[in-house]
Amino acid sequence: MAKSTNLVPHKKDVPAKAASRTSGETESSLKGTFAAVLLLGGFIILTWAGVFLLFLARQ
Amino acid sequence: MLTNGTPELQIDRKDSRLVLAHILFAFGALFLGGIAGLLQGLVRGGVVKLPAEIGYYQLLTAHGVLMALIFTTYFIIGFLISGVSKTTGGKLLPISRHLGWLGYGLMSTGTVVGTICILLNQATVLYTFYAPMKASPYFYIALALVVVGSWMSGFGMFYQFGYWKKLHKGKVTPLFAFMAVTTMLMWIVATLGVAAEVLLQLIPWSFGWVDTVNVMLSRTLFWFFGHPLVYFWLLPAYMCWYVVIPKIIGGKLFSDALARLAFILFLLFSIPVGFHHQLMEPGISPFWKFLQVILTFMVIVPSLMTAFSLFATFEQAGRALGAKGLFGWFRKMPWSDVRFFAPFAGMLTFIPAGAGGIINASNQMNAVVHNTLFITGHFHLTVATTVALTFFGVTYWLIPALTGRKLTARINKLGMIQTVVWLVGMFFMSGAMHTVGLLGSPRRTAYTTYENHPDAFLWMPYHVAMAIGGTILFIGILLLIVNIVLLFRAPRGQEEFPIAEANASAEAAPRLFERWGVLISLVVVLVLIAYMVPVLDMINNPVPGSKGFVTW
Repeated sequence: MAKSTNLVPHKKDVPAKAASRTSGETESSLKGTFAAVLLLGGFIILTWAGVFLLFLARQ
Repeated sequence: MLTNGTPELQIDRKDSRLVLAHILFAFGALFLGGIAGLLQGLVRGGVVKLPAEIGYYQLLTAHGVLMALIFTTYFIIGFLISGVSKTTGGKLLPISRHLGWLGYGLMSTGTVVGTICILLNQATVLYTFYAPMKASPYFYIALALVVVGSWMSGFGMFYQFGYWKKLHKGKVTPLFAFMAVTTMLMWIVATLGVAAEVLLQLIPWSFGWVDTVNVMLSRTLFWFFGHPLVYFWLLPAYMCWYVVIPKIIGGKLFSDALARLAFILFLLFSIPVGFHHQLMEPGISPFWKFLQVILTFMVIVPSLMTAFSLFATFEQAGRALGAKGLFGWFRKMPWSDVRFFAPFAGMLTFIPAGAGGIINASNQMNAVVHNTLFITGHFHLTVATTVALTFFGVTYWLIPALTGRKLTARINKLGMIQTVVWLVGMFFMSGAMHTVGLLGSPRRTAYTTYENHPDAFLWMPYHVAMAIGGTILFIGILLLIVNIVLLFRAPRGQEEFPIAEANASAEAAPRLFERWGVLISLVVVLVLIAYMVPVLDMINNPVPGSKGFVTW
């Protein structure tokens, strides 16, 4: 593919250390972020449901 | 930035003076408001009794006005001016600086007059200054001066931003300056509501030019301002999180465009939402309450975008430093650096604070928590922890950056201790407020046993916990004041004004984000949709007017 062959000389142009940092930036995993936002959403839903149950219990 | 031949300073010396004047005034107000808050907590907990000349509600008014209005507004304007100066060339235009000083003068005159009114017990109307409680007209005039003063500083920032844009046609504006302009724009639109309330209703009524006041309308105009006020506190904290924190942790901002979009959404959705503070009030049709609750829930979107962006910024920075595993990046953060730790503690606190806010804005649950100490606990997490700790974190580098000094390892350590003291105090105080609020204990009440009602006895231990927490927080304020004095005596040097770069691989911001005419039009349309019909109804079919009451 034209795209992947273009990448090779580009990578060679930059020093090894900088190349790894660049790829780290662009391809960095965001798994932890995904897990963290799910935990955050879960916390919001739990607290909301808790007070809603309190509301129902006091009806 | 090197200016005036003084390499230590991060911005022009004249700008530094303006910013420092704001920051020091802010902490002076924090100290006085903190004394009032300490006494309030001790009275409420049944620990002390006030001498007859001082009223509990007088202290409450002083605490609320000095901390929630004066400390925040001064700090925010100082911080925003510093960042606008820094990111638009390191020097304000003379007209922007003069407007800043004019604003400072007006706000300070207003603060002094307003504080005198409170101390003379002429304005014990709580910080929400709800009619029909009637204060001295000079108290309302004083608050109007504070608002108009803040507009002057805002105009100064707009002028500086406009000039930069003219000089850099086609270029993306500096993110900090963009955010500062968005925040001040939101503030000016929001304060139009309270300005209308004060100028058209409260001042004529307080002087006796008219006999009665339309309470429904005055409360609506107050909350038109009152909720965006919360975002006026919060957005500068977000500015620190988006623009400053990535630099401190050695990373990059996840996305410049996402940050700008979040601020635009705040500009649009933080204003037409005031009815969620009035859910329990008669006189507003359920439809308009429902609409504004929906708009309130829209504001959750940019807050969650911010949470995502921060996690992503942390994860990318941590992984670049070699972090492994799902949450390994978390350990790579600079935990012993107060410039990071204090704002991070603020971010963490915003999780329960935000969750509490969603509860408050939900109609049924508002019935559970309305006018209870839960609400007081909530805003002590938002403004008094999330916002305050972020501002404290900023102070630890901003003062040295403006005075040409260094944040030393010792002051950094003292700052860490001060942050922990604050967190511990707030855990007790706000935790007790939340819990006892859910049990039904009302807010805005001095010490009372409710004629020895058994329910009220159950609340007592929580009120004592609030007093203990409040005392620890006051120690936190004293430590902060000591640290500020130490910052002014720190050794000479160059402290960084941290401004992060955006991740280059992220999408650039669309041009629409800088079309201010379009954005302001959208704000106006949303405000009209949410408010026009119910407000016209309040004017055309007014509730019976009320004479003024002096309840203290």
